[in-house]
Amino acid sequence: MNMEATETLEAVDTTQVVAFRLDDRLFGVDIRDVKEVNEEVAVTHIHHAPKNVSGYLNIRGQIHLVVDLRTEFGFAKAPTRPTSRVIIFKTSVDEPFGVLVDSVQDILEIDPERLVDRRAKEAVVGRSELRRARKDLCQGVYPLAKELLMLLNAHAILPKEGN
Amino acid sequence: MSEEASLLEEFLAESAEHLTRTEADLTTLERDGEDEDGELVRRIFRAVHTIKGSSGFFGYVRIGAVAHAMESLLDRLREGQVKPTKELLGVLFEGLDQLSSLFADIENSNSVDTSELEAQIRAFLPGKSEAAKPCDTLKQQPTDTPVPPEILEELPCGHHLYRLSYDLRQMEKEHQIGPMALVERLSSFGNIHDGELEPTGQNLREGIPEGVHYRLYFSSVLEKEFIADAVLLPPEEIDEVAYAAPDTAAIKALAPQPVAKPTASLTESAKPADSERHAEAEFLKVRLEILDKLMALAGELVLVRNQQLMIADLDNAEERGITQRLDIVTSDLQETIMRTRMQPIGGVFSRFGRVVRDLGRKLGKEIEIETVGSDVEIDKNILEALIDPLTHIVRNSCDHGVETPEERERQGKPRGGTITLRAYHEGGQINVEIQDDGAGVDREAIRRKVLEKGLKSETELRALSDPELLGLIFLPGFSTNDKVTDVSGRGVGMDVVKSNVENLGGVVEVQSDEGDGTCIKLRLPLTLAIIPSMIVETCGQRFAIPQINLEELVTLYDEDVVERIECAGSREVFRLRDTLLSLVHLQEVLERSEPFTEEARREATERHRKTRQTRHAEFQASRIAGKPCDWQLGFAVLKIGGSRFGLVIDRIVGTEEIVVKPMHRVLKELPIYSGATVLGDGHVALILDVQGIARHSGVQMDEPQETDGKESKEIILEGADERRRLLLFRNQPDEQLALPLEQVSRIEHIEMKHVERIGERDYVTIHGTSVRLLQLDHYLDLSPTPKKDEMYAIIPKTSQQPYCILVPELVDIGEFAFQMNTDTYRHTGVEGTGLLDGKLTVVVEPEAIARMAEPQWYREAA
Repeated sequence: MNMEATETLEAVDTTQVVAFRLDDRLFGVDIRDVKEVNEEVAVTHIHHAPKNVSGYLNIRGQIHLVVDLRTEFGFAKAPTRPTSRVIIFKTSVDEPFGVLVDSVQDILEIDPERLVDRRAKEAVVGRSELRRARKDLCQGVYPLAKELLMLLNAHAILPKEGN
Repeated sequence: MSEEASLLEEFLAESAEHLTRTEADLTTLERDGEDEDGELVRRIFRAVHTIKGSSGFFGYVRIGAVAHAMESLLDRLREGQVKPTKELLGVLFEGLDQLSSLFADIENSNSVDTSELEAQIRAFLPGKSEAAKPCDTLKQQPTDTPVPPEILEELPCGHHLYRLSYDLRQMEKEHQIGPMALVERLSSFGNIHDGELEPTGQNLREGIPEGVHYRLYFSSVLEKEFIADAVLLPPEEIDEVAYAAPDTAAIKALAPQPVAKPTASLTESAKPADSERHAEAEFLKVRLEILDKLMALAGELVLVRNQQLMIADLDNAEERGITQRLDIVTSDLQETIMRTRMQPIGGVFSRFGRVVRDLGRKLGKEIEIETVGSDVEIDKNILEALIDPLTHIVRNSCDHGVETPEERERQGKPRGGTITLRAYHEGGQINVEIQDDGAGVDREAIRRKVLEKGLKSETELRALSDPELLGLIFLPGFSTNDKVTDVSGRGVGMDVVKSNVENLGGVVEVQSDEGDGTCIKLRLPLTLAIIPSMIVETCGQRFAIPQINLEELVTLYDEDVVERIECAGSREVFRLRDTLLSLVHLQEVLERSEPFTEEARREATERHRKTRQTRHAEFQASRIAGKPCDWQLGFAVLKIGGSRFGLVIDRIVGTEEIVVKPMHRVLKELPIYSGATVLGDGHVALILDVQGIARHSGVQMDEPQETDGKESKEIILEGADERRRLLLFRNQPDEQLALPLEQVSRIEHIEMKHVERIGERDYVTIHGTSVRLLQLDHYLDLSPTPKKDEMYAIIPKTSQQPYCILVPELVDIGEFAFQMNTDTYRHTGVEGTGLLDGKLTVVVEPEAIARMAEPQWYREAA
């Protein structure tokens, strides 16, 4: 994983974000929620599990739940590629789980002040897809030089108790 | 977190233990009304004394104050100066509760006003005149610092008072004894008074600071020459400041407390302490964290062992030997480590004495608790998780179960009700039963509540059996309490109990006889961690079935696959020795995420039956053609409790000991899985929940075996004298015929347009062979055979020349109860007739038919 930051701003209070691609669109999650990025993507399918669950993954003897964000946004299902990775989140976020992504990009520093609102979100994922996705999952859109990055809230990926 | 901060943790952990034990002891003392050998009171005294002493190290003054008040009272109790009346014990209980709540919020404990409680406790202390101090003289040594007079007053006869000072850092270094251990040690030899840290204002919450001293007054019967060893200080540093000489004449007036001779008392008071310490040496206090880590490591070792087993070259003798040894050691290690976490359930049971006592008092009922099987050991984690459910159930029994003494008398029951807590091992599981001899579950009240809350409709209620009605108490939102008292109707309810128990992999049941009491049974797995299992494969994926649920594996080969699996209504069954085993296909279970409906079951059964028939034909064809073929079907006979069913799987992989990991919280609801595991090859496999599968598929399980052979739920078995394996088919819709299965080779599906007529004879080509087609209506007295585009050809096992019997419609294949009558309808080609399912059925003899059709085939036969 490339650890170089490609964009740095002079803002004092920046957030570091792990950028990744899904269906060629750019997303990011707060690095403070990320435990690791793993190359292992051979997931065990779980029958009866909700559609957005990819399955279980074994990493160093611990079983992780892998979520398929594609179903969240209504993207078509796609097979894994050589660049596919699983982003594993810290246990402070939830019980061991991660998301399967097409590729992991750099770590970017973003200024939370510059996050843009809903209308811009639609530019990234499209209105109907945004409506389908849960509101709290998409924290905002961040304008980069060449494209927009959709910042996701790792804590909102899994449904909360009672859902 | 530094190692030294653990001093505070140690204090909290030990105090918690002291409080729990004291609660149990106080309850026993109150129930028995007296303390024969004084052991209980002594124990309680020491526990409170230690808390008082240790709390001083951390500056928790209120805890110290309450403990001090209790200690003073306990001291008098110990000396026999006061009697353990209900009121006195009551105030001690209150002190205990106050301590518990102070500990619960320890950081704020110093701001709690405990003065009233302390006064209440001290109110029980005998006045100065009552406290007949028969000590003759109080000899005091001259000392610069005056001894606080209260201490002198409290000094028991025959005791010396010492002033001690400890450099705590040094004590730890030289004697490896921490401050609290020091307090415990001193307490076993005498009493600590006014212990203080110097410089004042210091505390040990962050560990032991440099240069901090612990100064105290210590009273003991031990004389100066013996005390040095006991208190771990050189004699020069021990300051004797007073001695209360006993009045020999007044000694007899005192309660049995060894004060007669110092030497005698030395041995006597030293002995219990000694033997206690000796017994303690057999036990070791280990941090739970370490045990958990050990468990995790054992789990990893099992995984590595499994991996090694996979790659080991078992042909190499040396490698094989090592593999075997590794296997044995790993299993032993794992078992032993599991045992470290096993704790006797008595530890949890003992709490309920207090709960029941308090509740009984509150509700004006007389309730007693009995425990059976307190020695039964359970994994600590399960034990912890059981506390809440058990507490709720016990409270329920007190609240709703046991009646008031007056009501009980009216019913001819003893005034006092009894709640029995019973634990035992059975069938590889732990069983915990809570039985009360109270009023039993009020069915009407359940019905009323359920209707009121709209949980079920009238019609639904009427359709429920009694056990199902009782089961309603587990519905969320159910509680027969009208007002929410803080006793048990908090709205928490039996549904939480049920889900808690189920989360542990257990089941809960209610049994109740109105008027006679209620019994709630919990069944739990012995341990959550590592279990032996059978790995199976279906739909290209591997699954684990816990060995405990597996009774046997059955594989059917070749024709048996179609012959021995029968269809009864909407289900597939297999005759396993004496019972009929219902079969469920794992594939079906996996593919349907909704519980099976009757329709779904029927559809699946039908589909599988057709598949079997087709495959049978293919198999037969291959056989005839001489091609190598094999056909097999495997299923696992699974059991829950005594009931069984069969699960059809694609392939059996093998046995493996697996480490059970709970399902992710997001997937906990899925009923068919009880957990997941990592297999030897690193892949994740899901662990099947047998009960979940049974419920999901609605499979009808067989009942536990009864030897008097009374089970005859199956129509097939009903009143069967004669059972025959038959192929049933229809000519016309109301004409049912049968062929004995042993004479049937296979069934082929043919299209009538392929039938060729040569003269008077019909032929059809089946798998390249020209086969004579016989129509039964030509040889038997039957209605004309309907002509459909597609029909069936039944091919017999033995024949002189290839022939088949034309059949318009197949009904069924199986074993049927069939009484055949050979007299009523005599006809060549008919073996006999009989009633099957109320329909007249004609059993055909194919050979006889063929003989009628083609007599020339048989001419040569001898």
